[in-house]
Amino acid sequence: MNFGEEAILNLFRKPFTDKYPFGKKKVLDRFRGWIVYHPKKCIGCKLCEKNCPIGAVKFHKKGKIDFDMGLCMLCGQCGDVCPTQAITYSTEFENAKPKKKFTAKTG
Amino acid sequence: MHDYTMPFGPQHPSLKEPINLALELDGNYITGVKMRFGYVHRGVEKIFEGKDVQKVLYVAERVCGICSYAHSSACTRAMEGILGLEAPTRVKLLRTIVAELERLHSHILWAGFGLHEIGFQSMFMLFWRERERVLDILEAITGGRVHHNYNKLGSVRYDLPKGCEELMRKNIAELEENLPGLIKEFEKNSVVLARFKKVGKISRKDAITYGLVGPMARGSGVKSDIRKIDPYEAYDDIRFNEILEEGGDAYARAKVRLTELGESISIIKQCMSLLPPKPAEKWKWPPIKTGEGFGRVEAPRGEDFHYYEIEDNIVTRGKIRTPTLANIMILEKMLIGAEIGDTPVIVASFDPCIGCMERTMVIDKGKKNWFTESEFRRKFCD
Repeated sequence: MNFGEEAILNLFRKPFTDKYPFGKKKVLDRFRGWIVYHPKKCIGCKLCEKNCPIGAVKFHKKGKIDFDMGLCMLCGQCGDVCPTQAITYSTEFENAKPKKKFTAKTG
Repeated sequence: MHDYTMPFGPQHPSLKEPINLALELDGNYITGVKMRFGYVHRGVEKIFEGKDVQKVLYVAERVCGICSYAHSSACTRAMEGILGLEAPTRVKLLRTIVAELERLHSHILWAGFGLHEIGFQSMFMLFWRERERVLDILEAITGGRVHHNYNKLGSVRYDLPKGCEELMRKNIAELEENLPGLIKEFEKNSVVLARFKKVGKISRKDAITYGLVGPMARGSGVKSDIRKIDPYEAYDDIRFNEILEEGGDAYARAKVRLTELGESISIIKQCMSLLPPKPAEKWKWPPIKTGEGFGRVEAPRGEDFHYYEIEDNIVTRGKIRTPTLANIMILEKMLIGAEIGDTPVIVASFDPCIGCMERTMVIDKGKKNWFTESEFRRKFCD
């Protein structure tokens, strides 16, 4: 590699980085972002609460589950074990929010 | 000139993670080192206790942020050994692909850091540009760029997505085109040679005495590749070379890592050609068993060892020996006699992962600061 050549070529190349706040990078389909909970699909089997490795899921009743997103490590196990796909993952990755809003989105 | 002690860390521009070295100096030369750890101890082994086997896989992955998949696969190997599960061929090949992609990203990351330590910023950027291509493939396959959560007991979470093979071929072709030029520059650049050669020498004898693992040992000519010694996943069916260098200095270790990049690419290509057409089956619940076992894999930094005791699928004891924990003891020996300006290069040549390494804490209470297991239980656990 010749650094002089590389430097001149770079003048005519597009930037490799993204212009972040203006042009967001498209995340891929499998990306696990903020949890989305669908209360209508929920059958109240409690599998998500039992399978959470760190206890971020709290079951109250059928259709009402608290997800502590401050604690969640997005391993995806709750979505895997859910028999009715009531738990899915959005592609949202900007997750800095006030602490009060650390709950899953309802879809 | 006066003798004095200089602190190096816990916050220091050349350290990515907190570690404190008190360097005793005689002029420009180091005469003594006191190491102090414990800034990022999180007690992962204690968190394992009382958790289900599948849950432990996810928690084990959080031990490290760079070689996260290595911890996950060591844990999987241990658990599958205890539960008597055997993964199908396609699953094994998929796991091997992800493991090698992780080795690629970790070694490229190291090359960037190593060059950043000597102030070679443009090469650092160029290496990290290539790393981005690897992370894109990892995100496409597993859904995570750092923590993949890909392994399940006896299976993997997903098969390859649609269009992934094309993406892999495209990105790997780009890597193959760009990396040799960068490596060649690394090998002949006078700044790199001046800073890396004859720095932090480890003799072959010392490497064996201290029980070094991974590129640290291979840089001194000691065979230590777990993929060859104790093959796991699909490494049995794949042809690759164990890279050995005789120099024993920081440059030899760098060269081991950079040569392994090519090997990893060839392993990924072989795995892709070997993939059977039938997609992997969906994950099932594991059988319930009691027992103990261990798993070891070759992480990018060396041998990663996990030991577990399970009782009706609940983990009662976990123990991890990470590669940096095996390597760190030689740091003192390497630093003594070196120049103070070489400290960042010597520390970087370890490829240290301090978060991985913080496995234990010594609690200083009065005169005694070490305890046997029974004494420890009596004092702190009851």
